[in-house]
Amino acid sequence: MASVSITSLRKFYGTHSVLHGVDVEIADGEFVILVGPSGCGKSTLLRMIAGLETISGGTLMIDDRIVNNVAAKERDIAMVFQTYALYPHMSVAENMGFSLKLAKCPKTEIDERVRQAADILALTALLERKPAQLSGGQRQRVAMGRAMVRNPKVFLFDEPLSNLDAKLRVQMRTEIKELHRRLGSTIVYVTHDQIEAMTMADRIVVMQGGYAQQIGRPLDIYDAPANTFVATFIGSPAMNLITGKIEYTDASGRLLCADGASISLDDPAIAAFAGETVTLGVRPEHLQLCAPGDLNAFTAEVTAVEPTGAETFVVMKHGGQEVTAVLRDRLAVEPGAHLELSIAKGKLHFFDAKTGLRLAP
Amino acid sequence: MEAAKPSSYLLYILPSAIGFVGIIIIPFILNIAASFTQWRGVGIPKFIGLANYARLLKDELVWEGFYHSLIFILSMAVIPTILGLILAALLFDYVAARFGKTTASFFRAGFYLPQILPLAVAGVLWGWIFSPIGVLNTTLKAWGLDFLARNWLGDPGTAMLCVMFVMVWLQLGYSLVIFMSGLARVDPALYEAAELDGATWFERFRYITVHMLKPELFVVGLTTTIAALNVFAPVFVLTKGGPNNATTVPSLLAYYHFFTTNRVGYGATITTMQTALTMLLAYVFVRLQSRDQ
Ligand SMILES: Nc1ncnc2c1ncn2[C@@H]1O[C@H](COP(=O)(O)OP(=O)(O)OP(=O)(O)O)[C@@H](O)[C@H]1O
Ligand SMILES: [Mg+2]
Repeated sequence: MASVSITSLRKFYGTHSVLHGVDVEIADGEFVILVGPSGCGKSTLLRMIAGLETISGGTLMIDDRIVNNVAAKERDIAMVFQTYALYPHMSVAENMGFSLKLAKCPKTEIDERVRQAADILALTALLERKPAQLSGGQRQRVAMGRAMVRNPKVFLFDEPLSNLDAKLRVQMRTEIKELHRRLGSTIVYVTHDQIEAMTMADRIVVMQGGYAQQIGRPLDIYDAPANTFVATFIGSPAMNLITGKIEYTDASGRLLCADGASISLDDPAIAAFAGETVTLGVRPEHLQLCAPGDLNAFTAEVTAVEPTGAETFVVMKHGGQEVTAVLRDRLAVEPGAHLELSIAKGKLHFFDAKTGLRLAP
Repeated sequence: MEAAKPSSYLLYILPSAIGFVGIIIIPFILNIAASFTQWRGVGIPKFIGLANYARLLKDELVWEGFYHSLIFILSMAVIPTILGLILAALLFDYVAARFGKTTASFFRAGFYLPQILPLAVAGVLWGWIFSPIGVLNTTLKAWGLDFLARNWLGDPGTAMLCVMFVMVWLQLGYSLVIFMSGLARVDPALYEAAELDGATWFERFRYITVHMLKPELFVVGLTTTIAALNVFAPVFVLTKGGPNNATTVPSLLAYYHFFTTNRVGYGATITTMQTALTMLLAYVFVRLQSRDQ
């Protein structure tokens, strides 16, 4: 096990910059997930940790050793690839034992360690099969087994679940989390699925456009996103963003939107923004139906209703901006109807309308 | 739409079937038939049973020819395949990664050049290089290595070595190009996984490349071995089988009997034997391959 320390890490492909200086401290035994939209540089960062991409700038330390120029095979890191990259001509057991064989481990020890890993991953019955004779989920487990057998300093995962169907994905999520608890290993895991990140990680690194936008524990990020990108990326459906001008008089305020629509706001925090244009953030589950004239309330026109069974997503328009509410109750409304909604107390987020950075609280 | 009757498909095969029968099957059968006769190419062939075959078994020159065939398998199939595989992996992993794809393509094209050069040109070229007053001897003498200079193609001791060298030069590009296109098909993640598993370049070559290129290895191995058993033109332009039959091969002997001594029946016997050996070898290859899958 080991810690990983990433300082101002940069990556250029030719003159094209894809990582513009990323800083992440990963503690020994921590499960860190890099999450972000496609093309944001997650895989690049992961592959730089692995030693599969050269480092253009900054430093990468594993434990207390700078490994910028250390070859991949000297870093003692195991990686589970998105396509699994199992050796097609080797059996499951040979795949898992390959690294030990290269390390000239005695045959009996290889067998023993492969057997142990196979036990944990429920692969014992499949050890003699070739990868082509396995299901997607089984291949995924073999790829993890190949990493486990080595007992490496750090485990890297690059979107390991993206080729599995939804149900298996949920199951493997639990298994990987359980595995981490059991092995206590340091894991860096890449995904573009924010739910995977939220459910599995000790800490999340939200990336976008080659920057780490925010680093923190899942619920901390959820409760206090650092900017509008993180606010809308983490959480599903995404956080509502409503831009308008704050009016504040006599301890009561409101957000005045572009076409005259407004939201009454009962929150002392807004005093600080009086007269300013801000972006108000509201999580869909913090909107509830209410009577006209309630505090923190506004009227919106329904454009779509999406029942999921447990909850109902209601998509609406308010002052020309889209607002989504997640309601616990089933609701029989047609598009075109008007609903009166209020925002739960203390659940307002404020962002700078220009920079998108979090203002308060 | 109604599916056409299978028999109507035969119509589409007909044009090439006519060509195949006319150019391959009929001459092949006639050749076998001729091998049981004494015939000077004109007049009526005289049936003599297995006499030609009996003679063939005792013909030391034929045995020497088949022995040379083994040497040609070495220099046209074995060495170019192994060398081509290693070179392809080096160009792919090392040169392309270090110096860019263009540099790798340049080398690949360079190694392939002998394949597109007309054989007659290549023969003349190497003839000049190896001639007693050729480039090789001139260079050796310029370096003060006079004692090494000799009549390379005229000396029975070195002629075969020279021909072998030219054959490797000739064949290398073929296997190299096929292996490089095969390498492009292999999932790069396999190499990365192996690298993280601690494999050195040679271990990746040995445990990944060789296995992933098995289909290409079979194809290259089979086609080059067949080419080696049937080799004619390169030897003809370089040495004509000489000096003193030091480089002769079955095809050259058959040619000699057909056209120089007009013993057409006997020439046919040699080519029939050659065909039988080639087919046997192809059969073994295909069996090996299907067993491997
Ligand atoms: N070899 C390369 N040459 C040039 N640009 C590259 C190269 N590899 C990646 N990039 C660029 O670097 C950026 C980051 O790529 P990366 O693969 O890290 O994205 P990602 O976050 O993993 O996306 P995804 O979720 O789609 O896998 C992308 O804009 C991509 O176009
Ligand atoms: Mg990626």
